[in-house]
Amino acid sequence: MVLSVLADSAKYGYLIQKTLRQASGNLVRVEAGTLYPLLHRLEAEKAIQARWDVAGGRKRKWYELTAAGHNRLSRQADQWRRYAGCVEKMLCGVLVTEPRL
Amino acid sequence: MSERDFDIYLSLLAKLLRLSSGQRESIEAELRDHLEERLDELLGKGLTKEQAIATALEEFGDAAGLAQRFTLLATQHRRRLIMRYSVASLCALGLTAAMVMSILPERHDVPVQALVQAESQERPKPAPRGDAGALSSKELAEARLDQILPEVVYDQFPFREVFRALRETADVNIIINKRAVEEAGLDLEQPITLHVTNVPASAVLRLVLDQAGGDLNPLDYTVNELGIVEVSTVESLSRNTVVRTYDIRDLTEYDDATIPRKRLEGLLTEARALEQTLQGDQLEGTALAAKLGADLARLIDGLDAVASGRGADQLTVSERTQNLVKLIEGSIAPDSWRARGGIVGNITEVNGILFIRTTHNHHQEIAELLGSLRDFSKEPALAAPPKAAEGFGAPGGFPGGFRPGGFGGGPGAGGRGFGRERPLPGVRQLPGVPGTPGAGARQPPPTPESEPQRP
Repeated sequence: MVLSVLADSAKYGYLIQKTLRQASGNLVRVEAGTLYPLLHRLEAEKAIQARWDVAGGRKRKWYELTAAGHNRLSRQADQWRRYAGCVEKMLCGVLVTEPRL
Repeated sequence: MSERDFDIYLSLLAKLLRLSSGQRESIEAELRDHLEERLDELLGKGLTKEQAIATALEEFGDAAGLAQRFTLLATQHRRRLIMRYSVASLCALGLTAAMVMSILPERHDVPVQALVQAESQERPKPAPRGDAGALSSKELAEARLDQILPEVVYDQFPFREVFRALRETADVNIIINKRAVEEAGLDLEQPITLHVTNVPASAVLRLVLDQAGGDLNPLDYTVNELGIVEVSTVESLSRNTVVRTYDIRDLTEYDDATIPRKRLEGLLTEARALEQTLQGDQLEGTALAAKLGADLARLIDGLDAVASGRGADQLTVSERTQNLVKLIEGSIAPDSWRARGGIVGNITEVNGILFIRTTHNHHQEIAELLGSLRDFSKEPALAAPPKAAEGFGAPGGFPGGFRPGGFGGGPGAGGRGFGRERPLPGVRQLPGVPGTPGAGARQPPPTPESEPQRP
């Protein structure tokens, strides 16, 4: 999910946290204590890369996806779609159908 | 909460991070940015500065836990582990997979996550040092000795060969002081039999030394400054003493007037407000109210005295020095000090510098002890300031109690474990093995192994 948030543009930690929250309709709320170690791990795995920027007197660390990160994201998105499709197929017999009006 | 507390929180976090200074600075800057951004947002919503700071820090969570997670990640990358992933670790992975990331099976993530999970379940974290910079050779060797070995099997393996094996597995240099060992009548070829799982390399080392040495010729090891593990008899090692100097002037020659006046005045106001509340409460007239009232009155007097510069418990530099020496002698290797009837240890103070003669290991413990004292004297009140009308509790986070030099000795001043032994989880030793003092694992003296979680 962090990777997907970074797919369209580079972001810094706080913004990533905020975007995750907003994009998920307030369902996904990551604590800084989880997010930052995760970002550092992704950076070490070369899925994302970082650069520092001095914005208005404050040092800020921006993250963006690497090529490997993009690949990983699309692979994961693919898997997710297949998984979700599979679940839906299994459940479609169980799902309540819309009453025909 | 004030701006100063904000800074203290960040620097405490930085200190707890046991990483290279470059990495630490980088993480600190990043987290500072996050906190400040959040602060701006909260201020924009109309909170007061104090409320905003309190909220932001609370959301941020526990500094120690955060630091541990960063440090763990970093050390995973540094170590070269020869681990065999047991099925159990992979199952444990299932739990960690419920992280922020998607619920997809992240097979390529297995190694790091399994390690993190296995590590965090199996042993206490190493104590964070107050002055951690880049790892020294010594610290690196010790970290390597802390690695968990999933399985160790020695079947009538010669003593000398065990070290060769450990050296390779744990990637540390181990030398045996042959002369001392042989002089004590120990056979370097004696067979060692051991079968344990999921214990740190240091524990394996101890078990082997126990077997080989037994009660008559106890063996021990020490890690010297070059990161070399030296195995020898306890007697010989205890004679390996060096003199080191410790500048303790910052701990003994301080001036109590450095307590920020505004902070004290703030606390005074809140304490007085609490007193008012107590007086107006339904408790009035009860024994509890009387006791609390008395406590509070004494507290206020004390605060008053310190605020106006007349410290009721002002000690002289000499008294503080003596207290500190007594603290060291009482908590670290108490029987070794000549002043207490021992043989090798000695502490002399000259002009605010301590000259201490003792073994490497004890020096390390002393350094940690002094580090604790310094940490406490710099960041006395990270806990939230007392909330005036909240129940009957006495104000928390009161800074007055944490002055160094006021200790009368006694161990565990910083709430840390000073020993370098760790309890041995899940160790089985085969019965009837030569040299073991009966069946069962060796029990080192219990040490407070978990760090207090700082808010």
